[in-house]
Amino acid sequence: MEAVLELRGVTKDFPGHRAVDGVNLQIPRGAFFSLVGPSGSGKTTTLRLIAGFEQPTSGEIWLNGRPIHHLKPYERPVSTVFQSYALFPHLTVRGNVEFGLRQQRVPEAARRLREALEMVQLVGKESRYPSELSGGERQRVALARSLVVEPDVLLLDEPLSALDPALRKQMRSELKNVQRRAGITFLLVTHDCEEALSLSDRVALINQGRIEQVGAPEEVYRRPKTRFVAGFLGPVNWIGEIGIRPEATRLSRQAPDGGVRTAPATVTESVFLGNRVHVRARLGTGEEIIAEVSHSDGLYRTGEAVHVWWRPEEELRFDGA
Amino acid sequence: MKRRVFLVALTGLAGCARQRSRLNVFNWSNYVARETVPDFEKEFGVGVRYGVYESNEEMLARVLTGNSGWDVAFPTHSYVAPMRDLGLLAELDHDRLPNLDHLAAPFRSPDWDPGLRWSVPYMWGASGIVYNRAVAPPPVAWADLWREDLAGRLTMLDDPFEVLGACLKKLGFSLNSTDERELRLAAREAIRQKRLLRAYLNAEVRDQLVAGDVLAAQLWATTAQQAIESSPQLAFVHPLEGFGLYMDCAVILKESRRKPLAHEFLNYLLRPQVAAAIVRATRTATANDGALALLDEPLRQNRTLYPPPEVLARGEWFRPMPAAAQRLRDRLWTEIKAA
Amino acid sequence: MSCLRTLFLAPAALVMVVLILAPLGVVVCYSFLTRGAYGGVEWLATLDNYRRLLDPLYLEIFLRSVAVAGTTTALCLILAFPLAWFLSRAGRRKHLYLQLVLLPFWTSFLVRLYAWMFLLRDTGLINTILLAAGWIREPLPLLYNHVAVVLGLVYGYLPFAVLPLYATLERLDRTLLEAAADLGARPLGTLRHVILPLAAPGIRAAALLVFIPCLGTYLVPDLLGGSKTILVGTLIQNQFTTARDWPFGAAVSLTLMVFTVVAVLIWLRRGGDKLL
Repeated sequence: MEAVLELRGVTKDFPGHRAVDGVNLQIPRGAFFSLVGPSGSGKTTTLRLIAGFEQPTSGEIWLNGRPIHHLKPYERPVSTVFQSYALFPHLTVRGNVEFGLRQQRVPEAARRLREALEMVQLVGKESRYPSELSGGERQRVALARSLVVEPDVLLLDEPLSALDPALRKQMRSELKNVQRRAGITFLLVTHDCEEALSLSDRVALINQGRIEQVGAPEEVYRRPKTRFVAGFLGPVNWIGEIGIRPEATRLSRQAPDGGVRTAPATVTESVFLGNRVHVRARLGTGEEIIAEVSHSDGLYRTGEAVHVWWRPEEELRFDGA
Repeated sequence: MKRRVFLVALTGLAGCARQRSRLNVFNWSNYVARETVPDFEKEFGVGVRYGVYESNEEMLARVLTGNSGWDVAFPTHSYVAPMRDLGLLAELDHDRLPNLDHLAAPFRSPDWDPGLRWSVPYMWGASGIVYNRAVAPPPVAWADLWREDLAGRLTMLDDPFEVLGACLKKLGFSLNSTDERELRLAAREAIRQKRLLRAYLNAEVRDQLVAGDVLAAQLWATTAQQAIESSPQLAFVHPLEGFGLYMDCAVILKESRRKPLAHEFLNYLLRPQVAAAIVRATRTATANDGALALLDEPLRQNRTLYPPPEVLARGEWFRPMPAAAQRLRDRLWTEIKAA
Repeated sequence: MSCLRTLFLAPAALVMVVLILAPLGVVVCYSFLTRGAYGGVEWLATLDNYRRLLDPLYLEIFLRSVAVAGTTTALCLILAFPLAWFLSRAGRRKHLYLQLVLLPFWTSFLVRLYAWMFLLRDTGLINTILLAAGWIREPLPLLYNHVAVVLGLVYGYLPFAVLPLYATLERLDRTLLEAAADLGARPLGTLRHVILPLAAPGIRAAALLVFIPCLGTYLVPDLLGGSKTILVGTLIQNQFTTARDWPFGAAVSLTLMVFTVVAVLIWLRRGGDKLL
């Protein structure tokens, strides 16, 4: 795997707290890479360090084999899509998208402009002003504007968080398409784990300024290295020392066959969620668990005694944390 | 019961206010001694509202309305006839002005008001050149204010009458010329002089003279005298070609409803002691002979304020201008300033 | 209800009519009358006053006033922009600095002009220091020239330029500047293509607030210029004092006002009706 962007021991201190703590990252060329974490975890700061809006307190940032951590933002071949899009209100769509091309005096600007607009499907809207566009259209302008300068890495700071849920899902697949077609490395920062898992080739989880795990989405989901990673990527039933995902937690009215772990429980609630059912039950040992069951099991009634069981290979175990 | 007493007392107060009269006097700034007005108030048991102005135009603009609220004003002599023609003045009752006898002889029946029917001469003055003794040779004529060696250290008064007057005199014409050719020549002189000038300044040039920034200035004699007393390095000369003379006069406005009291005030100002006190305070030249006699030798013999007769003879009293000449002068003044 | 609304608008309307429209009406009226011999007017209608304005002498005065006002406006904008920029980024001290900019308004303009005269005179503070330090042999003629006049005007009107610029720059979205840099714009490029266009409403307002009063100034040319130049303001003042030609003064005033209104309308129209 060839790393186009590398962070080596990057630390950023602000007065009073350490936002980024010794972060090491290798982002593969051409990948859709996500940096996920809760608010305040340092993910946006990391992005700003890469873009050049902040300087690292210590550590190095390398791009294509060159150190860039001393360079100004306009000297770095990276481009950012801001959370608020930061479109220039006094320029049209065309003016916004060709801004970088003009500032860098790129030849064949007209052709690249046209291609970028086609890629985000905004052809025909060149003369509109940002104030005349919808939220989704503005996001696409921001994307086109950053793509058209052909950066080595495209940084996206929670680009979909300002959109309503229905639009968000639609934009997700568009984003993935654009990345594939453009062939540019994307680095997405988000707190939405579903977004990260669905879009990315690789995911890095960050918590309190530290990287907790990096890997392919399925890998970090199935084999989380820390309790934080497990809990962040989805709901987890904590039973004693181990965790089980609700979709791996099964219920049965009779005692299950051998080869599985089991525990007796009492149903407390059955929640119908449309395409699946979540059944809450309390174990004999007191823990509350959620089991994801299908309709064919029939309805579980409150107070019903059930057996909770799961396969041992689906257990999530952690050392220490 | 209490309320009735209060209301009666109130009307009594109103009556009091009516009985204590108030005279409204409108004068140039710095033209009385500190005690002049308070002494009058005390002696006659009246109040005086005392206002000041800096130019005849300012005074005229207020008085023209016909109900400015003033009783007594002090126009320069060339304004007395116009104000009379505009119906702004009240005719004087000489029976109420016995102190007129103290006036110096030349002023008992001047050109601008024969018989003194409308005005009482107050203080007079001349405009000439004040200069620093370091200047050699010392200036003696208006022409000296066009000297190259004084470039940048000269000022003239910011007044069209004074500037055009000096130019006219320099060319040998009358101060009050209405002749278009003469006036245009005078304006040309003024424009010629402009590049040598530091600025057009009135009384404010005094500080710069004392400090030595300005070496020669066209200035009124009274202001010059004040400067000389601050710095013996300075001296004043009445220019050889001739110079302007003016007399500020006291008048009673026709709108006044306190004419008897106004006469008392004018009569009071004519008292020798009162006039002498004013001269001592303001360094003006009085028209009052009795006051002159009360002054100390140095002040009485002061050549700046009281030039000897042969010098005084070169002076020319300003006259009011007919409309066409006034227009021409205004336009020339604009041209001079715009050059 | 609309009669309540009329009632509340009445005082403002009264002020407008009595204090603004009525005197304006008097000025318009006077400009068509003949001058009285010693000031005031005679009720004789004439177009003479306006005809006189076509004289090259007065046109020259007018143009000179426009030039002085234009120079002052340009200088004020150039000085005010960095100051307003600095103010808008000042963080917690922002309000303190704003107060400092506004502080001169607490004193009379005339008093401040005299203060400048004390500074600039031959025996003033600046020359005294320079002489004492031995940097010059003779005092520099800092007063009574065009430079002193422009200096006085720029000093007097600078706060009028700073405030609207500050208001606009303060509202500038900082992420736009980051975006510009991110896309490869160097600081100068960001200034030209992002900051200045977005600050344009503030710049336009600042220019108006300086240009219009400057056009009619007469104190500064009198005091700091030694009364040696005549600008439109001085011309008008002269008509009501030494020249005692009120109708002509009224005509000049009215012409100045019409010119200003037309200029402002054109200026605003170019700005696309967006003032702030």
